[in-house]
Amino acid sequence: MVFSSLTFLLLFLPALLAAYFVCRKLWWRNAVLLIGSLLFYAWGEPVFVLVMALVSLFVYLGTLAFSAAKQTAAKKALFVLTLVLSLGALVYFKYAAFFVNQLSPLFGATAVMKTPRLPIGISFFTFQAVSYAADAYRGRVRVQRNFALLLLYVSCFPQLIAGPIVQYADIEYELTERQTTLDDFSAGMRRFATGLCKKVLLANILGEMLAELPDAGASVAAAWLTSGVFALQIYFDFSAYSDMAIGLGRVLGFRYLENFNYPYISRSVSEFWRRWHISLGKFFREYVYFPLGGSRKSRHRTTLNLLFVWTLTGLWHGASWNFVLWGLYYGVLIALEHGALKYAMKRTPKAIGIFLTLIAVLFGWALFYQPDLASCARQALAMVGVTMQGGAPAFAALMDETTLHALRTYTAFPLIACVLSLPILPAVERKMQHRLRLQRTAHLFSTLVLTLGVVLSVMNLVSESYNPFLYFRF
Amino acid sequence: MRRKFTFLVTLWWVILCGALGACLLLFANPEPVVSEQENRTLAGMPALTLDSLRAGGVGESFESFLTDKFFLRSDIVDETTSLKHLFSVLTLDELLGEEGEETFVPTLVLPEQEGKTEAIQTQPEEPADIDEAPEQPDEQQTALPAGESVDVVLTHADGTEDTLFTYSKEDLQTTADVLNAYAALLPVGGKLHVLLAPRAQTVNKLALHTDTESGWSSDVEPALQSLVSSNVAVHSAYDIFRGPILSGEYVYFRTDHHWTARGAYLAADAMLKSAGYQTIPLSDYGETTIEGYLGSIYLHGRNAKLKELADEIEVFHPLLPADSFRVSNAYKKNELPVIDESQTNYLVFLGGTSGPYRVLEGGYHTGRNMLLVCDSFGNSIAPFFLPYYDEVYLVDFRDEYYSRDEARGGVKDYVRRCGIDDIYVVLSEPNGIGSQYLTRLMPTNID
Repeated sequence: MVFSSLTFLLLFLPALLAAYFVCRKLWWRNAVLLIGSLLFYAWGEPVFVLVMALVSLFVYLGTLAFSAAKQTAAKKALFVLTLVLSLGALVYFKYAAFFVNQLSPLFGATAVMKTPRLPIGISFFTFQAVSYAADAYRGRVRVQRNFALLLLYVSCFPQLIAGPIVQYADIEYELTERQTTLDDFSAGMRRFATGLCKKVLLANILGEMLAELPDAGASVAAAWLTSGVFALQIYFDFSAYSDMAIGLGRVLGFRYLENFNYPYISRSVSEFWRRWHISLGKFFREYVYFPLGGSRKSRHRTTLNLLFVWTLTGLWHGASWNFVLWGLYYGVLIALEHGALKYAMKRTPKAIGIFLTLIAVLFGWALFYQPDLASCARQALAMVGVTMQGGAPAFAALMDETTLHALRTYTAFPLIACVLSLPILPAVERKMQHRLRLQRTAHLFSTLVLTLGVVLSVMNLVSESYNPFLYFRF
Repeated sequence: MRRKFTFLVTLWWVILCGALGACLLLFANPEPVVSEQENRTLAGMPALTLDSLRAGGVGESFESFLTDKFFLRSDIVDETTSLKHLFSVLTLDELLGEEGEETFVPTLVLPEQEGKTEAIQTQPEEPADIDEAPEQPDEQQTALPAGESVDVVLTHADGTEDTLFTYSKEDLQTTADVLNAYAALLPVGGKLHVLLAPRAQTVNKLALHTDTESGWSSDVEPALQSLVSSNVAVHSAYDIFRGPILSGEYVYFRTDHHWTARGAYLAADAMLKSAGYQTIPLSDYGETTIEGYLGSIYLHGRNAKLKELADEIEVFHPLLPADSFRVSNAYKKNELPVIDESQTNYLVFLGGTSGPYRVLEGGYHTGRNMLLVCDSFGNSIAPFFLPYYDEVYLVDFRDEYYSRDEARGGVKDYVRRCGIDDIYVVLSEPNGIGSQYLTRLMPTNID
């Protein structure tokens, strides 16, 4: 099920909240939440509920087994087995076909493996399960002996499908001890409404604009606009989902960590990744980069670690060379920022730093957005003003008619999105909150804006058809 | 106090949403229905069985049901699109130039009608004499102007010109090959007439700007004529419409990409006159009018600005010698009226396109039959051929309407069986030159 759907807004959410708050005891609330979460997932992918349940079961049994093991070697072996089993589904559904098809020609095989249908959100719930197993192994969290509670952690519907990747340690306490105050309820729903507006009124419309743009190699403007509009679309789409997840979590008594922090004002690529999909960065940092030695070893080893982690990050987003290169691209940039460019970065003025980072990110989105390497190369070349004509390089046109038409059709939306991707509104809100007289006005104003936003979002949903989130495919 | 207010507002929203959802489930029509305004079928409630749930996809179907059957949906859709367009700087002219959406024809569920089902195979075979092949163009004749491309040009009042379209020699040759293949099917004395109709998006560049534009010209038709057999006559829509447009005749819709029935009449009239017929003046036809028509160009973007240019549909009723005027599929006589008065859009003409082959039976006895190879432009022109032919057969090869399985026979057999004397090819220009659609016309669907 999708948050930005009438099924969710008009049926699932009111029914779930009613059932949830009718229950007074946490045990019952957890039961309602677990059943609701399984229904939420099963609505779109009924068969794949079993995959999620199996992954949870492997982790549950595995953690029980290695926590009971007396010898370190046995404990380690059981931990590795748990990881292998819990990652098995992810590897099969997401990567097996890619690797088999890449490697089979090397062994003279001609058969092609068909990519199986990907269970929605498998990367997210698998990583949550794995993070729990790793934390339990390291003794950071207590082993959960109640399977229903562990399943609730993995399947909890607000963050089930597109994150944020919630670590077990962050909600361990809330699984058994939590409450929702009036403030939590209101603030959570406001956050949810904010996310809904971002998704429906900005991301979806930017997606429409993107669909109207020509092939990114058509002109310099088309190439830059494709990257720019996609950058805004994916930001508003994914951060909207995180807003909705965090908001719903708060309504239900969970406090999830922030997943985005205005990434497009970053002064460096490293900073960009500290502001973009924060929970994924945290996961790779804690469970891959640090165990490899992080930056505490030699300079070469640090570079190797970075490249390895970023290749994995690319692969996490999808099994294709585009994503691998996208990951490596960031790995190289971050390695450079940590190494050769370290001192130059420090002396670079803030505005120039932001500008250069933005350029680097926009080139990165070309890799991410395009379906294959050829289209990606075409876009990257057009971004620097080059096009290939009959195998020979030539100057690309600055503007083409289709791009101009798309710009004239959606004129204001990219501009509004640009403004909203900067931390201007929070700054205004903070300023108003500091003045007592303005507090009430600010509150009323934001309530009105959100109410209008929700009305417009519902109107837009009625006018549109199915509109899944971009990060569902990961 | 403020905290309570915020909580109450939030709670009110949740309750409102729940109440709306419950009402939708209880009161929304669970059956799929055709929306004329939206030009499509609105989704019905999907079957929530164990099997359908297991197969997946129910979620999306259910969401479609909720959105399609939402209360006041049509108004909401209109308001939403109007609001979106507030953020756009497109001018009215640009909107009129946008792609149109083909008018949707709902799938007709027709009752089995015993005795009315008539297989075309039961018609007597009239072997056509096709031994004498018409003269093919020679190499000298096929020479194109220098540059090997031809243009359609719009002339401004100040004498300057803008090129509207440019077609390559290859594009024209592909069209010519198709036309020659059809021409070769005709019996001796049979003629193939071709008219490639510009769409309203092109025509209105002149029709709505007669103060700044003075006319147009097209090199396409002479170039095409040089590539086709001697029994093919290529007619220029640009020549036919120039005069009427400049004198203010309403020959094309503004919010729809088709010509009006008046425009269709002018095209039919020109082709029939060139074939030697004495034609019936338009004033002899009975006329009704449908007001406030918003066509395919409006439906594409639903831009509220276009509402002020809403069209009217002039409907000219066929001249009937008998009152049993029907459109039939080649294999089933489906009792569709030539003018479908239940429709308030372009579907009024023949009720839209349905089935691979259709035939209009005029009840006249002229001794001649014709085949109209067309797209939707054919629907409004076909009735004007009725007084001159016993039967007007129609073939529309577009993917939505034609499949080899359904047709159960190629055009070649069809032409022979139905005793076709003349063929008229009436296609919109983008379908007629340089389009994938042409491959549907050739060659396997002919044989």
